[in-house]
Amino acid sequence: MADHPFDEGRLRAAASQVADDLPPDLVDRLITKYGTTAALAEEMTALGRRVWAHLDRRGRTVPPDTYPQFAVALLSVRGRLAGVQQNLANVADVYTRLLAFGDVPVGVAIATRLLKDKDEHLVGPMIVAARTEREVRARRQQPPMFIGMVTAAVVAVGGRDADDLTADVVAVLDRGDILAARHRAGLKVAPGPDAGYPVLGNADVVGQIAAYRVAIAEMGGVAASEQVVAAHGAQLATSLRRAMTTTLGGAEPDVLKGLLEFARFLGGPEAGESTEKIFGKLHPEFLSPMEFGGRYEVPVEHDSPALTGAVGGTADELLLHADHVARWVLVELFAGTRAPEQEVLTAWLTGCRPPDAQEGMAFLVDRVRRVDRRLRGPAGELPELVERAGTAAAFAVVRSNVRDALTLDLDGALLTRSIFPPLWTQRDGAVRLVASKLRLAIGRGVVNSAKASLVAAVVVRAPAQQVRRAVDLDRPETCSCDDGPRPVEEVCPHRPWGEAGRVEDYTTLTRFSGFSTESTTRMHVKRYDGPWREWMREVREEAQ
Amino acid sequence: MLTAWDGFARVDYLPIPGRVQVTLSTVEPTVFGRPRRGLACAFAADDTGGPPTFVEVDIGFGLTEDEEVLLGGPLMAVVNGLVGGGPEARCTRLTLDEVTALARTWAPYRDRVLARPLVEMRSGTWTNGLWTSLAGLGLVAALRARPMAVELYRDEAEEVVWHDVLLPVDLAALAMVDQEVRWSVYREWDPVAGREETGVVVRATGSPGSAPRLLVGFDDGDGDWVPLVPEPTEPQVVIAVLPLDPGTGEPALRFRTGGRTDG
Ligand SMILES: [Zn+2]
Ligand SMILES: [Zn+2]
Repeated sequence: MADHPFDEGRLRAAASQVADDLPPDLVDRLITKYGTTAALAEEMTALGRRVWAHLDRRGRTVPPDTYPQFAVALLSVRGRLAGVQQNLANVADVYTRLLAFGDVPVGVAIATRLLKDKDEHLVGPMIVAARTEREVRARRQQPPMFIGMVTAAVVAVGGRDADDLTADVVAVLDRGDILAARHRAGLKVAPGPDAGYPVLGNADVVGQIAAYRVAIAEMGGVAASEQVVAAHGAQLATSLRRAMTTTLGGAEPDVLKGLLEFARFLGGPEAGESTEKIFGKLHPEFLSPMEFGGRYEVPVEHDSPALTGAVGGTADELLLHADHVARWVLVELFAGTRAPEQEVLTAWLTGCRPPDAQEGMAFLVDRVRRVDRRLRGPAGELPELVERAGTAAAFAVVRSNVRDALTLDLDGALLTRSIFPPLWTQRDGAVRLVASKLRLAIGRGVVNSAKASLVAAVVVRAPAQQVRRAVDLDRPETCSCDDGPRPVEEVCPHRPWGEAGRVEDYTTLTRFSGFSTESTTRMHVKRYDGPWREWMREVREEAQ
Repeated sequence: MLTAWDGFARVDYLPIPGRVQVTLSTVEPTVFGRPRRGLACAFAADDTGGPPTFVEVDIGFGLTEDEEVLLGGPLMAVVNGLVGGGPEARCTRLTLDEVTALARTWAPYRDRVLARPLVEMRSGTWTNGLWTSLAGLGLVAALRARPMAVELYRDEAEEVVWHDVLLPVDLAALAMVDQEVRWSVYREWDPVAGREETGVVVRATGSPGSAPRLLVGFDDGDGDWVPLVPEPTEPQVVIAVLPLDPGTGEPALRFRTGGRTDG
């Protein structure tokens, strides 16, 4: 029979992509069980061979272009029992069901697998929601979080013609915006902080979500008005507050619960739970303060010869060396990334990201630090590099940039700088953007806010830019860099992306973050234990 | 998670009551304030350098030049497309540099709304220059107490009570005046109107050998800016006279730098 013979290499590639696209906490569990993602992919491939034979005996084939979905079906992803499936018939079932929905992206297929058995009926709506959302996002300027929530709610509420879903969601967004505008105009907000939102949210965002809910109900034939929006707004504020105060502990789970509360509210009493599940499983990135990754620790070995530096030698030797360096750069950039992160990376590396865009800023800054650390440090054993269709363009750009840089005899941080397009036009804006995400990760309050600013100012720097561990008591209030670039050993927080040199010291950091003295700042650099602690550690350990 | 720095803005126009609203979506808790009549705004509570998360402008017959400066080019482009039509909300995306510009422009209002304990006032950007707004100076109380006659302040008479305020250091430098600026109140008979006029006089000292470029006005929504001009008797001293009715509410006093063509 076999129209399509079993292609082991291709399935292994699909399996390893699936393994990479799993949510980080699941990857952690699977690595505990199998050792590495490569070992996991190997197990999946072995099981795949058996399932393939099982299907073949029943006269069915597995076309190679469905290997990604096939690979997803090979995994059982739920709870403690996460791992490679035990039951061949189960795999075949899951695979068949996924195929019924046509072309399902791996990330979405994985998201459907994260649903509990009792939520099996949400698999279809989830796939439809993911598709609709992509179309709406291509057309609309609204925050992706709003689009994701509204789409999930429109799909979960149901009763709409599948062909019109995109238009329906766009209509809800438009209608919700004008309802929110009118509601806001009538809202009497008292001056001062709003005690109603101790952790997350504010009258504006709550009014916006309430307005979207009213617009969804209106689409189902329920008459709407600003008064209804106001009533819903009050109700949402109450449930938000309740969600925030039912748990003790850190701010992060609270913030996360708050956002899920928004989604749940949008679906209303009938479809709230489904909306929350569809949105939450499809978009773990919206629920994480820093948006993307940053969870994968890349171990650094300190016992092998330096990675870069002048190579001399023949043209062939240079090319070989360039290939090694490029491989390192790519591994640091792409390690542990999933499809949405790979899209952000590719857009940036191939020059499609405007230099003052916000997308994925915290994530990209983190990746810059990783590459910078690697290229300044010793090499270690050359890593495996898995290439995918989606990353080929980015890989080619990095390879060619590295080759050019090495031909020019650049090394370390200068090399990094020559590989990467600028991430910002003004460093200040990038620092503040990242600080806002860190605030959500670290939690509220004056000290936390100062800490978030401190960490952002330390970490958000271009390659070849350093933090000087020193106090500068004579530093004037205004930096004199308007008169021209400053020498590398001087500190200037405003250096453009391409300019090497020091960008911060304890004095600039103190002024920026608002700590009272340089020694307070130094203490926080030393004791900081929140997100990105490794980059803070790097600064305090670096010899200067 | 969404913050104002992501730059997702919703611009609303409501013909009744004649209002423009701008929301920069964020999930961060915010603080709301009304820096002056006809203008309200909110800022993320923990963001000491952030843009407004919400702005509400009562526009009457249209936006003043001031309000156009405050909103800035990209948002004004959207506003101009809406004003005059029916009620509408339109979404737009600001780039990081545009959000940064907004944050810098709004600095004086941000400091006031967030009620941060400040060592000294900070300036905001105002097109190519700088500005600040000083609230709670007690102008009206001084007017009601004992305004001097108009000729007195010109003579530096003993009985004149001068009040000192400090301009932000960068603003003073750019305007080429000393950081210390003084104000007092006056009354004079206006023969044309046939009644007494009262007001505030503001006086700054120019840096040696420079032509000061400083404008002042009440932050009351009228959008008036008055250049400080040299005193004939004391060329280093520049003054501006701002009529103010003691029956009104207490306005903030705002300053900005200006080019030669301003005013
Ligand atoms: Zn500088
Ligand atoms: Zn809109």
